[in-house]
Amino acid sequence: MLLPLLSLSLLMCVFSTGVIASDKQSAQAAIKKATTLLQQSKNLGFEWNTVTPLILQAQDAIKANDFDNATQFAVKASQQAKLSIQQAENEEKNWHFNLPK
Amino acid sequence: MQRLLNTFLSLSLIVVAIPAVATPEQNKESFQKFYMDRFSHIEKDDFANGVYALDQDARDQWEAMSDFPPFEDDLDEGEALFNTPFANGKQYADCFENKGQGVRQNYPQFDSKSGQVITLELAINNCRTQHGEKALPYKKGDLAKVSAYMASTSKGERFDIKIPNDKRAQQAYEAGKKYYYSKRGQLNFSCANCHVQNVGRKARSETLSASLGHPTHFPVYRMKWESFGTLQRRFDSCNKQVRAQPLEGQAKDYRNLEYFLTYMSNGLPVNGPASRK
Ligand code: HEC
Repeated sequence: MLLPLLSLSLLMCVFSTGVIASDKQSAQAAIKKATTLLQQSKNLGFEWNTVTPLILQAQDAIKANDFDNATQFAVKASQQAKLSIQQAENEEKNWHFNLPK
Repeated sequence: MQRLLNTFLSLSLIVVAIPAVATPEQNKESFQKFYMDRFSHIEKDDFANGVYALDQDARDQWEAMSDFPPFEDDLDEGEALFNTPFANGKQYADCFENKGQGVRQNYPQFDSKSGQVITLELAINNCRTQHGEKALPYKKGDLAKVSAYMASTSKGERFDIKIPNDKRAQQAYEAGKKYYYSKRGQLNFSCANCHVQNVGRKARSETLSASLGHPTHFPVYRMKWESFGTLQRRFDSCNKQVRAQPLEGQAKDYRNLEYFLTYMSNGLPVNGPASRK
């Protein structure tokens, strides 16, 4: 009787700490991804000035143990950095259509 | 049908070929012609006055304060700095042609030794470091004051930017051109979207100036800054407007952009420093 209960609570323990740990981890991973994408857009010369502030907000949220918000900010930063990379690729092909005719 | 296809094909070939074959000189001609056709009542030299060539109300206000330009003290400081010898006894005048008097119209230059575009501000800092002084921060402060003084000694000289027969110079020019025509920032605007396609129209409360004449009056004393700023400081302001991250002062892209933009104004007179809102 005792054994299953114990193992159950042990399991719950592992599971719940697992969730908390993976939340912090996943928030950190999300920030890392955003930072990498930001660096890519910088290298292409198409950095938006909206991305770094989002990453900073994500880092602040991590410090406040608010991993949900941290992840949200980081994901938003990644989305914007991706768009700026797309913009760089588009402009590489299309900029000269803007030349005066 | 075959004929039609052929003409279509050759036409599309021409369209595709234009950007590749146009020389800087041809680019400049069509760039200047665009503005002169669009504003046929404006004298070419008047484009050196920026937005005040296009907006009479703004010009009236601007001229009312030109008797006592807000930058007089800073300009005097620039002159004093220019004439202050470095610790090793040399001075700025030793680094420039004609002792640094009346040279603004020749910058940016392509330096074939380093393979780089050298703006006036970069040349000023190179002069300092060559003579054992610390480089000054770019975009504002003492460097902008010295640059403003040097511009003031060049009033009326006509811009004469050269693109030497050196592949690297042509690449630098092309890179600057590409920067100018590429959309950037979250708002997805190129310089040309505002200063070519929408020139003369209002963006919020401001009339958009022509890029013909953009570099002629820099450094500019902006009321908003309450100080002098270099052309690259102004690039920052425009980049921020479209939510693009500004670059470091004298970043390669900025120098190439300045090279292209100034070449487009070849033939216009130096009329800096000037004041702006
Ligand atoms: C969203 C529109 C917009 C875009 C895009 C833009 N600018 Fe501007 N720019 C302005 C406005 C508004 C002003 C202030 C009014 C004026 O002089 O046109 C200005 C002013 C300037 C000036 C100062 C003019 C003077 O007489 O002092 C320069 C130089 C300039 N822009 C260059 C650029 C360059 C180079 C780019 C591209 C990197 C650029 N701008 C992109 C809106 C824009």
